Amino acid sequence: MLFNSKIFVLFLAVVLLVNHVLGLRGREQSRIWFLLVASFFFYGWYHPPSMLLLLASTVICYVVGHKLWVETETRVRWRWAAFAIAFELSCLCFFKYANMALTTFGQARNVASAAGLPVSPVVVQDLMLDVFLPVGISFYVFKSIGYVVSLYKRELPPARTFQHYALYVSYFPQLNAGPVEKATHLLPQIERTPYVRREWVYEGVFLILLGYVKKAVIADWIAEIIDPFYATPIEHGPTAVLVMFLFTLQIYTDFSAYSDIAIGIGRLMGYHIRPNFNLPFVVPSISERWRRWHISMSVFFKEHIYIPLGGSRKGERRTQLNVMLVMLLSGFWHGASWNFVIWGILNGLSMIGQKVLRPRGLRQLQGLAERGGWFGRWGYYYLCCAVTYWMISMINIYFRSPNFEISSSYVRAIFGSGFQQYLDMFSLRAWLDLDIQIWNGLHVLLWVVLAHELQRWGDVQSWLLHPRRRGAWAVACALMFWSIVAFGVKGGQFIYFQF
Amino acid sequence: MSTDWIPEPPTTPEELAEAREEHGRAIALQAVLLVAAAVLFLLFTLPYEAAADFTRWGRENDLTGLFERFEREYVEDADRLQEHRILWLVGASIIKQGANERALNNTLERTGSDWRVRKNGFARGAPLLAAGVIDRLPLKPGDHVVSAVWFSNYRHDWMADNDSAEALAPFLLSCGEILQLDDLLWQDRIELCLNHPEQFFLVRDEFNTGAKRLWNHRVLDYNEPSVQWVPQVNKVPHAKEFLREGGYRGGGPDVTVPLSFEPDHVNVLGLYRMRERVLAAGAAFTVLRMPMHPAAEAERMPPEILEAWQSWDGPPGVPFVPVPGDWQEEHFWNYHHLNKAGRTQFALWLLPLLESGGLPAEVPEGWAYPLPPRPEGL
Repeated sequence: MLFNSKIFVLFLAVVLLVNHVLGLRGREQSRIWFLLVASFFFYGWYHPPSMLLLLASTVICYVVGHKLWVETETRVRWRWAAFAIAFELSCLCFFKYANMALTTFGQARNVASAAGLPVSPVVVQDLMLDVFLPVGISFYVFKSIGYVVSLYKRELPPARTFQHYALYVSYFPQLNAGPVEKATHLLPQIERTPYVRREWVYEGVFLILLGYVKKAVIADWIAEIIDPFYATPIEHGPTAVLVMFLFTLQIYTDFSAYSDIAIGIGRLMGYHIRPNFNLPFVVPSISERWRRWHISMSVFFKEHIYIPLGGSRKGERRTQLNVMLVMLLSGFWHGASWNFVIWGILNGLSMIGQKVLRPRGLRQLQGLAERGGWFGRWGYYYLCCAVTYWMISMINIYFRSPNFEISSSYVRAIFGSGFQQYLDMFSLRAWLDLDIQIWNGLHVLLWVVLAHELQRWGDVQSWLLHPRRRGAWAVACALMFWSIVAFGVKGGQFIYFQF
Repeated sequence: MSTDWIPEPPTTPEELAEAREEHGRAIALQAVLLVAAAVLFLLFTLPYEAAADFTRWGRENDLTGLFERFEREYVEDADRLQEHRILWLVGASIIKQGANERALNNTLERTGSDWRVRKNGFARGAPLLAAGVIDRLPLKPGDHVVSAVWFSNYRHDWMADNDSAEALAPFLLSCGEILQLDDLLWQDRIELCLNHPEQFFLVRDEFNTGAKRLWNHRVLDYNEPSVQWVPQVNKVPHAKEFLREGGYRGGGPDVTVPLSFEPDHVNVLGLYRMRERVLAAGAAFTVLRMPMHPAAEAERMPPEILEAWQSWDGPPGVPFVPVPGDWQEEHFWNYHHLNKAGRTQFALWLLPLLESGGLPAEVPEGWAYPLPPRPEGL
């Protein structure tokens, strides 16, 4: 079920109502079972068989969790943990990456055959398996692995009952696209009777409306503008570059919208989900961006891959290698396509590049800027932000393009004549030739940047949520509600659903 | 690691009592806000009621208002319309975005031509709707009406006999039809019914007003993953037309064009009615087949449909001219509509043909094309 579907609005109203009625009557177990059934219903709305995989994953990790708790011998505990993790990763690999592997194998075989090697060519399509990709599998697999690892490290006791653990894994607001909440954070909240405070209600409603505005009013509308350009990158010059900028806006508003809605719904039920974004849109470096973007996933990779590999404790080169490996895996996690692998590699290279290969000229510029006082520092900061935004947008071409051919042709469209396409951006004629829709998109981009910076400098959200400003809160919410209704919820899928 | 986003649970009896009391208030607040949202939603619907000024304004500004604007402009511009022979470009967005009226007129004026161009495109259209527009044009003998249409605009199931602003515009697929699609999952039937297309709500009084109009704000927007989730849909020819996979979405993000093209689908009645009205006014009439984005042809349109469309000569008796030329990606801003480069190429083809009288056209009985210069004062 999609957050931005009408059926979900009805579903949420019923779930909140029943959840609170059961809670007020003190029927805590019934409430947990009800939320569990509702979450599975939410998950299986379109494809009921998917629930079986979710159930199997849940049962296995729950059972293994108890084994890990009662078992004392390290070797046995390790085997149990390895079994559960292997099961989870096998599911992920089979459903998500099997067809990618088979396609790559078929293509490699055809290349070898064409090169005269003694292998017969194959029809790649014939190799493909008719497997269904369960929505959100990457997210709940990570949650399950996190739970098993936490128990293996004895960071928390196993879930009190099966239904508590199952609800932790399948809790519907964060089931399809995260945040990947750690068991140490969410499970204890699920196990105790939740209570809600009025300030959380105000905050939750605000976040839900903000999420719908981001999705329905901005992201889906931007998608309508830029989708044709990514189907076939037909435009050259400024248009290609600006469409690339607009996708970065789309993905930010789309993904953060889902997190906002998920966190907001959690607040209304008394559950507190970790913020998944911390103003990542205007940032001075790629590393900073990754610290603020999809925080729950970044933390997962940091705790389960980067730190076990040695993190930054084993010297400069090893640190860079670890960063590269994490970004590569992150790219692979995002999708079963070589485009995502390239996307991960480019992110890793950019992070390393910004740190290691930082040109001396930039350092001098920084020194100069600092001598320029407040204005110099401000100018330098936003120059770095602009360069970072440009880099992120370039890298995101590989994220957005449906295949390698499109992304390559898009890059060629931009760099086809060296940097001429970029230089064209500064000609008046090029700007006058821009499609009106691109102008509109840029207009929205400017407003989002302004709102982002207002939030960064003035924390407008906290200001609006202050108990003494309920009037301002009501006006803001009414305006958001109106804009959602006026623009209409288009029902476009969230980008991160595919992962 | 800091977990400052998780508040500490109440521990002491006093804290527990306070939390319980606050919990009750918070739930009451949620109930109040839910009711407030419903009330606010209903308030927002007021402008969309059938009798509301806003609805009437929208309804009238969609078609009737458009005609009024045309007529007002004709009065204001009567001199110029009488002084020159007018090439009337009439049709949907395909012509609205396919020709630059000002640039064409500047060129014609610079070259000392007797012709001027007048464009009367609107957001969406079909032949019968265009016939309604032609009724309101101040056509005169010697003028030339060109309707430029495209694959989707021809279909008569887009608009059934929509000759006037008040005419009925049917669903592409009604809820009743959706419910009868046995192969669909019941979940999909519900969602399809909730999202039924409504792109012509403004031309029908009883259609989607008030809360229903807001609730059904957007038309069905199925996406590929949904199709994967509902494989049975592909077995239902009628439903398949609705889906992006295997279906061609044309005309914009909120219009789904049924995936087939047969001469029988063409709204011949509408085309004939346009022709009759143009000829009755003493003007010439041509229908252009507009070019298509190569990717739309090559990648998104099934070959058999493409072939049927390209080989179709138009309904008998209606001059049907495929716009020739080497049309490439850089001539389109999306899959259907020309951009500036495309408009220039279109103009470069159209204007010389117009000047030389070489544009194939049906002309009123009794005079040959091209016409001799009009007498002074006509």
